[in-house]
Formats: sequence, structure tokens, C-alpha cells
Amino acid sequence: MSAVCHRAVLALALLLVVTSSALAHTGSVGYVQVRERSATWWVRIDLALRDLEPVLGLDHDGDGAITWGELRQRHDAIARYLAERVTLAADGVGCPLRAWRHAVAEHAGIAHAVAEAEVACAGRARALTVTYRVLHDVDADHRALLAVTADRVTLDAVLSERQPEATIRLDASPADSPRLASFRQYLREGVHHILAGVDHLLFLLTLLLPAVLVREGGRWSPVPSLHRALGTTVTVVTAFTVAHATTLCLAALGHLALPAAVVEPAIALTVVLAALNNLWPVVTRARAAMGFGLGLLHGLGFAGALAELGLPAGRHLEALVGFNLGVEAGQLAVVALVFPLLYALRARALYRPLVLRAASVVVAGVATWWLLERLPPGTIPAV
Amino acid sequence: MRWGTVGGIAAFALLVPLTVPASSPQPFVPSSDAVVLARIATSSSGHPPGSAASLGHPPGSTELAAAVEVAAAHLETGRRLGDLRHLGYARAALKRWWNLADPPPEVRRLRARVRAREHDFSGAERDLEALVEATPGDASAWLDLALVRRARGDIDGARAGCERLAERVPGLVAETCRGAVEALSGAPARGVRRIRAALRRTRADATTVAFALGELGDALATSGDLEAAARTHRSALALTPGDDATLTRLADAWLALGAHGQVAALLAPYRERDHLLLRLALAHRALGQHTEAASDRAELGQRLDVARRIGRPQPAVEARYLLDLEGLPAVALTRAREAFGVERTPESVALLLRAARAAGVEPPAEVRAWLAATGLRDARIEPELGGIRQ
Repeated sequence: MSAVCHRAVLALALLLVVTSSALAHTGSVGYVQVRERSATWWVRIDLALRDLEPVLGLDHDGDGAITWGELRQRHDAIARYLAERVTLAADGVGCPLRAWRHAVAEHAGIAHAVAEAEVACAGRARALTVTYRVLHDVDADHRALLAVTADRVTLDAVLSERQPEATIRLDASPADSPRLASFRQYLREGVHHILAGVDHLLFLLTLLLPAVLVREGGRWSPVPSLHRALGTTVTVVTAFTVAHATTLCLAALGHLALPAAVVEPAIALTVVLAALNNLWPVVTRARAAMGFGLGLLHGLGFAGALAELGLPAGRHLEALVGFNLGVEAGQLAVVALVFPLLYALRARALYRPLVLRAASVVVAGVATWWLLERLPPGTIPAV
Repeated sequence: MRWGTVGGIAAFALLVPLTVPASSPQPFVPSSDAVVLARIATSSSGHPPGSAASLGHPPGSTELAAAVEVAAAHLETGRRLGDLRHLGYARAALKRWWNLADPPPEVRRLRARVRAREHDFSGAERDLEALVEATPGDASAWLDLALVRRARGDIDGARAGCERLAERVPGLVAETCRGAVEALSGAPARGVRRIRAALRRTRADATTVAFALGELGDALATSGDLEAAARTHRSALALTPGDDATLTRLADAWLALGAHGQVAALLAPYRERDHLLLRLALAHRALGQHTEAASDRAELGQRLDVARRIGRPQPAVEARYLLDLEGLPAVALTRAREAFGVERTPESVALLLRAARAAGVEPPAEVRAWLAATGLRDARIEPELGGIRQ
């Protein structure tokens, strides 16, 4: 090969150079929504103008700017293009798309053409199939996010050149709904997290140890009635629950963020404080308020665990409610086991020295160890 | 206890409707025909660069030479604009040959490049190894192979590729290939000297010089001279204006130097590119432009969510977004490990170490093993390593 040839080949080779930013772009994504509306169907398709340009030539004057006027001129062409490439079939029988309406929407700052149509299907069907072959002849990587919402069932799917079709069974029982599946999955995760999260449970138990006692004249004495012990327990647990549910939701939805390097040691510190308060009571009447205040931090800890799992797209609500209820169910189970025991033992001579004090010393020690372990490296000067 | 449950549900039942993002944006009709909805890059022909119309060939052409020409042009446009769509256009153009076990060499070369750009490095390496096995004198394939192996963290393999290239076509590209590998093997100063010497000795076209300058800038950043790195990337950008990789490198150097105003000005026209929007958000936040930073962050979050949903996640961008904009180090660490598993660069190591520190955990063993194997010394990661080296 001559030197000139070699140079030309190498110049071409530079096409490959720098792979790192290559995947740093979402690429081409369309959005397809199909909804059941009282015995009929409606479809909305959103496509980036940048994606439509090469196939439909939107930039009529070639000045690099696509205006609403230019897009409007191509509305009929867009409707024809989509009608040929997006099909809906009820029980295998095609349903024509008609009465197109056009608009614009921004998805994450990127302008999309919006085309809506009525879907004329005859009668009620058992299954609806959506086929999507938009852009695949020019862009083999184009994908679409499909969301079908029927009366009782929903379907989310990603459509691609390889998988251009999705079918939703309309006679499926609600138990088949992916929303319910998400809810159940996150409910299980919530239960698992609270049962595996010793620090949260220890905090709650430390708060509950004195719930079967009353503090009068600087001394602990057994609570006189079940009613009163239950009342205190319910108040403390409610306060803790409301607090952690609040911060969990705020953090999971991105409205509140604290680094784990702060949250995790802080949670250990709440356990230390709760145990010390049992040994040298400072907060005696407002224990529910203490449970609330410190419980806010525990919610951020739960949020960290939830972030590890990630919230399923489009089903944030189901996942959040499921995870929260899971945490609470696990918590409830533990309290239901422990409370009768504490109540039964409260009047025993050893309850205060052994269960309240010695257990609190152990908890304070363990939680102090966690605290030191969780502090970021370098926080504690080496001895 | 029921009250506890009821209270908890009530608390987030009140909060959730206020906070869950709308599932799809509200459509609207612009107020006048003159409203500009989008700007697209155009070529001199008036069509988007690399588009089927601008090249005059229908995609999916049955004519091999025409298809290769279309695909190559799309790869180049996609690289320059940082636009993944062009990989899909290239793949569609080569559709007829794409799945062949033994495609024509030019298709195999382009398939390797598409695969590499999609971070399917093992698939790319297989194609390139088949090319050099069939034609050991194929200098272009040796260069591609060196770059793919480097991206995978196989520095010895990359060095071997650069040597094969240098035997066949000595010059600026081969010396740059060697210098970049030296910079990744603990000798950034030697790498810098080698590339600078080659640049002085050789006359080359703007693309090749910009390539050498880009690698030189990276080697300078590895050596700790960020100001020289930024100057070098700026020179490269002057040669190839708007080049995506160069914009990214320059923005990173400026962010590290605290030149946030310059980053905001540089990247303002490129917010449709996710990785540049990330850097723009960091600059806006550092400048105290909280409204802009909040809108950048929200848009980027939505795009990353979509990317993951369609099965094309961007772990490196996600990791930095989660760590620096969302303050979620634990999940950032997961993404950073994912990114490091795909592509091994000083940047991916630095990000992973930062995420591990923020999450309060030891640097993962795979990073330590890789650093020990390559001997990489990078000024940006040394402070994060603490006592690991000892």
C-alpha cells in the first residue's frame, strides 16, 4: 500500500477515536401512548423533530431552524407516514387511525411533534396489538416507549426494530397488572430492608423499652394499664413512621438529598441518643417528638436502600407506596412480637436494671461502634 | 399501630401527588408560524449532515460501495456531533451485511466502529482481530484495535497494536498512539514529549492534528498540568469546531480548573447532548445560577431515565449526575462500577474512586488490581487513592 493510501486509511480510522462520549446521548426515542376511552381508543405519538427531519424534510428553507409553520405544512405527511407505520389491531383485526390532530411537546428540553388520532376498532376486543415500524428503515436503533392504558390493565413496553410489536390482553385480571407487580415487589423489598436493617429496628426498640413504664418524680414505675402502654407505643411508632415515610418520599423523588456519608453515621447517632435517653432521661414526655425528629433521618436511610433498587419507570407511586408499606409491615411484626413481652415483664424487679438499663448500655455501645465505623475515612484523627 | 400505618400513608398520600413527575409532557400549539421549535445542524447542501438526502444515496442500498460510503459518512457525522442517531443510520445502511459471520472487510471495519461506539468493545475487538488476521498490513485496523483494547483497559494489548501500526505507517498517528499508551502506563511526561515531538516533526491534515492534540491534552491532564491540557484542547477545537469529544475534554479541563463561566459559554449551544448538559449543569451550579442548574438537572434526569428504560443506559453520565448533582453516592458508586466495567480510563477510575469515598467505602478491588497492572499514575486520581499504593 502506498504512503498516500496509508494516510487516507488512517484518516478514516480516526472515526473511531474517542469512544467515551459516544454513548453519552440518549439517541432516537419516540413515545407512543394508547388509551381506552369509553368503547374507543386514542393514540398519541411523539417524535423528535430531529428524527423526522431526515425522512420527511421538515426544514423546508434549509436554514437549520424548524419553525411551527414548516412543521404545520408537513402535518398531512406526518399523519400519512405514521398511519403506514403504526398499526393497532383488536383481536388481529386492524383498526384504522383517523381524525389526526397535531401539536408540539417538549421531552426533557427537546422539541417533539405530537400526533394524536382516534383508533376505530369494531367492538370490544380481548387483545390489542400495537406494531411500530417508524424510522427503522433509516435508523436501525430507533426505539419507542409504549404505554397502553385500558380500563383495568396497563402495559409498558420498549419497541424496536427487533421487537416492533406488543400485545396487551384486555381480559386479563387486574392481578396481571404490572403496576400491582411493582407494588408487590417493592412491598417485599421494604419488609426485607426493615428486617435486615438492624439499626432501624434497634432505634425503634430502644424507644419502646420505656413505653411500658412511666417516669414520675425522677423514677421509673410500671405503667398501670395495657391501654396506657398501648397508647404510648402507638404514638411513638406513629411519629417514627410518619417521619421516615415523609423523608423517604421526598428523597426518593429527588426533592431532598443528603450524602450517605452523612446519613449513615447520623442514623447510628440517633440510636446512641435514644439509648442514652433511656439511661439519663432528658426527653421523657415528648418521646414521640423525639421519635419523629430522629425518624426523619431514618427515612433518608430507607431512601438510600430504595435508590440502590431504583424506582421503576412510570410506576414511582406504586413502588414508593409498596416500599413504605413493606417497611411498616416489617416494623409492625417486630413491635407485635416485642410489645407483649415488654408489657408482661414491666413489673418484674429486673426489668429496669436489666431490660431498660443494661440493654440500653449494650445498644449505646453497639451504636457508638457503628457511628465510628461509618464516619468517612479521615474524620477521626489516627491515634 | 394501625394509626402508625394510616399516618404514614396519609403523609405520603399528601406528598406524592405534588411530587411525582408528569408521565408525559403537555402538548401545545405554538402562538405563530414563526416560532422556532428546533435547530438542526446543516451541511452545505442544506440537508442535515450525513442524512440520506445529503449523500444522494438511499439508505439500505444494495450497492456495497454506496452503502459503505453512506455508513462511513454517518459515523463521521455522529462522532463530530456526538449524536447516537447516526450509529443507527449507519447500521440501517449496512443492514444487508450486518449479521453476516464473514462480511466484506469494509463492512466489518465499520461494524467494529459502530460496535465500539456503542461500547460493545468485545464485539468490536473480534471484528478487528479478524481484519488484521486476514490482512496483517491493515494499518487502519491495527489503530482501531489499539484504541479498542485501550478502552477495555488492556494497555499491553493497546501497546502491541500501536507497535504494529508504527511498523506499517510510522508518523504522527502511530507516535500519538504510543504516547497515549505511555501516558496510561505511569509515564505521562514521556508520552507528552513523544506526541509533542511528533507534532513538531510532521505536517498533517487538521483532523489528524486535532486527534494528536486531543491525546496530548489527555496525557497533560494525566501528568497534572490541567492548564496546558485546556490550552491544548482549545487548539484542537479551533481545528475542528464543534467536535464533540474535544468539547467534552475542554469542558472537563475547565471544570477542574474552576473556569465555570467559560464552560457555561462553551456548552450553551449543546444542551441537547446529555454528557455536555451534565457539564453545563455543574457549571451553572458552581456559578450560583440556580434556576438554570435546576432545569439542567431535571432535563438530564429525565433523559437518563429514558435511556435506561430503552435499554441504552449511560452509566458514566449517570454516575456523575447522581454523585455531583443528586448527592446519591451509593447508587452513583454502582453506576460508576458499571461504567468502569465497560470502559477503563483515568476519568472512569477517578469517578469511581470519588463515588467510593463519598459513599464511605473502600475503593473496589477491581480498580486497585487494574491500577497495579497498568502502573497508571494520574494526578486526578492520586489524591483519591490515599494510602492504597503503599
